[in-house]
Amino acid sequence: MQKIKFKHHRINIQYVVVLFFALLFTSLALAPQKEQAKVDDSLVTFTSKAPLETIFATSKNLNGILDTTKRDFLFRINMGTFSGFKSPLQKEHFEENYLEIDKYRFASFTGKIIEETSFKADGDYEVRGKGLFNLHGVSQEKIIKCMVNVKNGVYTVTSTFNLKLNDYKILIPHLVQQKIAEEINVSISVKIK
Amino acid sequence: MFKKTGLIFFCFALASTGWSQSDSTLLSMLDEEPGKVEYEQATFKATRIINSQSIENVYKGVLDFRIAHRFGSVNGGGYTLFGLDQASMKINLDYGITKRIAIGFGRSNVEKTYDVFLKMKILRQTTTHRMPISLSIVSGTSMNTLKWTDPSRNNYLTSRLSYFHQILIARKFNKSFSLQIMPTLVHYNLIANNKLETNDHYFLGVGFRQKISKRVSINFEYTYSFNQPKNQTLYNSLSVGFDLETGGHVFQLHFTNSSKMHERGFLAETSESWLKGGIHFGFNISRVFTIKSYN
Repeated sequence: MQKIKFKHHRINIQYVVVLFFALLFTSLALAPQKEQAKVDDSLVTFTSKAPLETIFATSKNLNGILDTTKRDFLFRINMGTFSGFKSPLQKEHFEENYLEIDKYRFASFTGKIIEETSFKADGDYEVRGKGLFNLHGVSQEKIIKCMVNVKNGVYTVTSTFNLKLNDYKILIPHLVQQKIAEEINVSISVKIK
Repeated sequence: MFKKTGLIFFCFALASTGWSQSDSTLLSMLDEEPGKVEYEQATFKATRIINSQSIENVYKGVLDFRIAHRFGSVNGGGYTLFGLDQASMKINLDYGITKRIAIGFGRSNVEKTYDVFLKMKILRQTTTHRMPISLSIVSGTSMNTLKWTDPSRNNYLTSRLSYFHQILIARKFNKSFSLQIMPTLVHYNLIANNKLETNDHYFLGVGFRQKISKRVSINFEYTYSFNQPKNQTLYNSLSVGFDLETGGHVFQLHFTNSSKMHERGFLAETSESWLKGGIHFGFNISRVFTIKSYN
């Protein structure tokens, strides 16, 4: 009994050594990635203004990464996280009939910042992000203007832009054409650090 | 064993070194809340498949106003315009108290019946394999308010009542196909003093919907009775129909051999047969109103 206990102890030390090395390697691997900032806080709002109805919803679940040296970015949002609709049925229709989130759960924007800005100094920058905007399974090339405020390594990005539903194959039946706008206004505010 | 674990761990560490250096895949760095559970929604379009309750509840704070008609049987021919001359009607108000609990109240002109029910979601199907089915229970009471056939007798209010209890088990297999099975018990407080009749009736129902477009689906529903009284001609209830959805309305158009729309009526008192032309055209119209907004 005593012997077995001793054996266990020895193996544990071996295990700890491996763990130590594993952690060392992982930390080494992660070390040069400091310029990749992640989305910390976000607010995404969309508004559809049609003659008969205004539809409005928000989500705080934008996710994303900004590489400030390479000026690459990726933003992604789960379309099932929007709330604030007029009724639960409206949300159901948004998700099931229009966005079809069981097939296309995420909307994303991946690309590069056009301006060669390093974002080193604190201050406001007006930049354009160019890349692929993916919504409802359809990718479209898009340039989006944003304001970036840099302060103590925290980037606050704000932007508003429009999306044409037709571009993303989101079809509106004749019957509700007076209730859903052809062009949807999107405004985002993201804190990245 | 321990050596193996160590080795695997080591490999993992090496692999992660290699992976994080190939920074072209920014995407893989996003962890999309791994523990978050998402529930399937819209297993059925309306809170009824045709006659039977579906797994769907009215949303919290929403009032569902339903009007249902079943016309006369089509074998009346041109003389009754295939049954359209007469109709049995039902008005229903359902309300979602919480996310999981809904209540309903109805009045049918068949035997001047009032009915109430309580429907509770117990299990909800998730989009992952964590929970493969949805399960709800429904219990209800109905009261016929016809004048007593023999007023001189000592009549009790409880004699007017009957109950139903149902377990709904449903699964949305994919975007367009959902299936539901429903073991059911119907209890009559009062029956004829006759050995051929029983107070309790057991049923097993099955229903499905198959979408044929984004807003149109075919619905089917059948209920098998385990102990049909032998002294009456009764049939199992069979219905087929369409759901049409337009914004806040759901129109359900169907053919059924049951002219009664409350549970006791269509389950235990269907007296016509599809094979003998006892088919009724009917519809349900549902309109939802948001009373209290919670989203």
